[in-house]
Amino acid sequence: MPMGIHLDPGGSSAGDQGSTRPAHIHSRATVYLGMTMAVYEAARQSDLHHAMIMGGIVLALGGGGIYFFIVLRSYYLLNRTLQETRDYTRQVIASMVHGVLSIDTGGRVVSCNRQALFLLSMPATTIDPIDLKTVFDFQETGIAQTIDQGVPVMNREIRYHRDQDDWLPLLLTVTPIQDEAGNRNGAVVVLRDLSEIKRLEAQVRRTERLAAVGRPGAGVAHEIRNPLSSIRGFAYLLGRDHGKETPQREYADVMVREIDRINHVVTDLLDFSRPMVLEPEATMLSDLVDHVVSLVSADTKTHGIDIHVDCPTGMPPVSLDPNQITQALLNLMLNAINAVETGGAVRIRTSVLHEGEGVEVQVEDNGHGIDPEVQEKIFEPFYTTRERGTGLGLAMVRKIAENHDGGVGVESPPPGKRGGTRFTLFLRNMQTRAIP
Amino acid sequence: MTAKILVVDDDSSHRTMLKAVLSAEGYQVQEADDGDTACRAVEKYLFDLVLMDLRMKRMDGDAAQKKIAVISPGTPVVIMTAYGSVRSAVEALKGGAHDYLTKPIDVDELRILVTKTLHHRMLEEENLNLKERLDARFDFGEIIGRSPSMRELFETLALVAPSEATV
Repeated sequence: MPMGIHLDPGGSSAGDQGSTRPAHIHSRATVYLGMTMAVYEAARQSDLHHAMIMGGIVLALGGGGIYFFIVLRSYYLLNRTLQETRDYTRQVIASMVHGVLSIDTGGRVVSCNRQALFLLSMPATTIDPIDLKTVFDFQETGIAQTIDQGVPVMNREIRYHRDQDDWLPLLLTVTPIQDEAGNRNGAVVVLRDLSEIKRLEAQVRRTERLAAVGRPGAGVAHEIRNPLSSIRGFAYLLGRDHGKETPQREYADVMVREIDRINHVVTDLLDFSRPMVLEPEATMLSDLVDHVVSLVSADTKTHGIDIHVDCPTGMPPVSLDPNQITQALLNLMLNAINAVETGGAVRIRTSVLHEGEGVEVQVEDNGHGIDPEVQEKIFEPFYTTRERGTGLGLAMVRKIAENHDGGVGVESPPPGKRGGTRFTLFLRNMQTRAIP
Repeated sequence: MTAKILVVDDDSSHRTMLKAVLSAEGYQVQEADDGDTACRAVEKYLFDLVLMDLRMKRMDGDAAQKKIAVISPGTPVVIMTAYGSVRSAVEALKGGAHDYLTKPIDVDELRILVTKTLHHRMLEEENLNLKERLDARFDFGEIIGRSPSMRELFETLALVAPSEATV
């Protein structure tokens, strides 16, 4: 450290040790030391300064640490909330009964829910993004306009062809996705399955159509039966005046019989056109079949016709209208009995279709069969090959089947057989209507 | 005594036919072309049977039959219906009709039903008549006596009076 040392003149000094004079150290010598404080002050200043900087640094580091902790924490919370929101949104969209897809401006599917994949019958695990352009015609459906101009497609009915002859009615809604700046970057596509609605609509239309026939039918019945009644009465009177075995009596009897025949047709037609109200109840199909067989047993006994019943008793009860189905089965059985000659056989077989969707009843005979060109017509009203038939029996079967949302088909000869006919009645189980 | 039948139908051919058939059976037949006319006829004359169509233009069979039941409670009404439905027949019977026939009318069925109904009506009337006559003829009001033994005597008298047997 730089400092000046001043020695008193009377005293010895460390600096005079080399002098010739004998060293005489005076005890009262005073040493004055003079030091400049500036350097010391500067050092202290520097120390203080240093300490302050250090303190500042420590403070800054601590604050930074706390700040960092807070930021990290809020980031974590935000992330968790975001994740929860995302999961929730995903669950909401996944749980929707409608199919939801979002597409980018190029028409590629960005995200979609399960229902959308189900409706478009696409595999759930596709690696490549689906190009919606390959699924829908963008121009025809208006999706192109939504993407390019932001014009939404509202509730447009389209047919989506799953394969060659299976199509699904869909209700399509497409709305553009826009960011806050107003830039369009894709669209949201909502698909609604209309098949259930279409089915109900068809049922209502059918009921209405039949009701339209049925309403005037009641009036027509009165208008036809009144004159028939008069003619029948007079024919009776005319015949009565002549003795038995006379031609006049015979003619009068023919008139009465023919009037009864007309009346029979009118009755059948009225029954056919009367709107059918479906009253389904849980029914054991085997009981119903047994009942029908017992109804025709007198007929089959006199004609020597064998009836085979192949109906598992353990079948679960089916929800159907027992009266209507009894009539349908009775018509099919009578038809089969008429088709076979004496000694023929009629087989009735029931089976449950996969997943309890419905039941199938088959009535098969080994009779004369039905020509292929006629098979189309047999279910039409008033088509008959029998002399005394009204041609409404099978039409009634079809009506009942359709009323049960089912159908009836014919195979003649049945597959694997050389002759005969098989009618298959399909009935949908009314309670377990499939909801995907 | 020939039974009197009222045929009610707004279809004149049908009416003519019914009249012809029933006249041939020996009944006395009168016609009415709707429910209203039928009610007026019932007010005027006593009929043993009313044969009436259910559906008529001015007053239908249902309403007319209810009115007839008030005017002449004992007269049986047979309803004719062209619908052939069980429901309309049940409705008619609920309304108080005696029976019903479906059009086209089976003449044999009509004859049997008319005979049966008239017979029923005759028995009913006879029963009523007898009861009345019994009450009127054997009113022992003029003989004094209220004791149980006297009452028993009156009853025995009433019982044996109509018979020819010696007591």
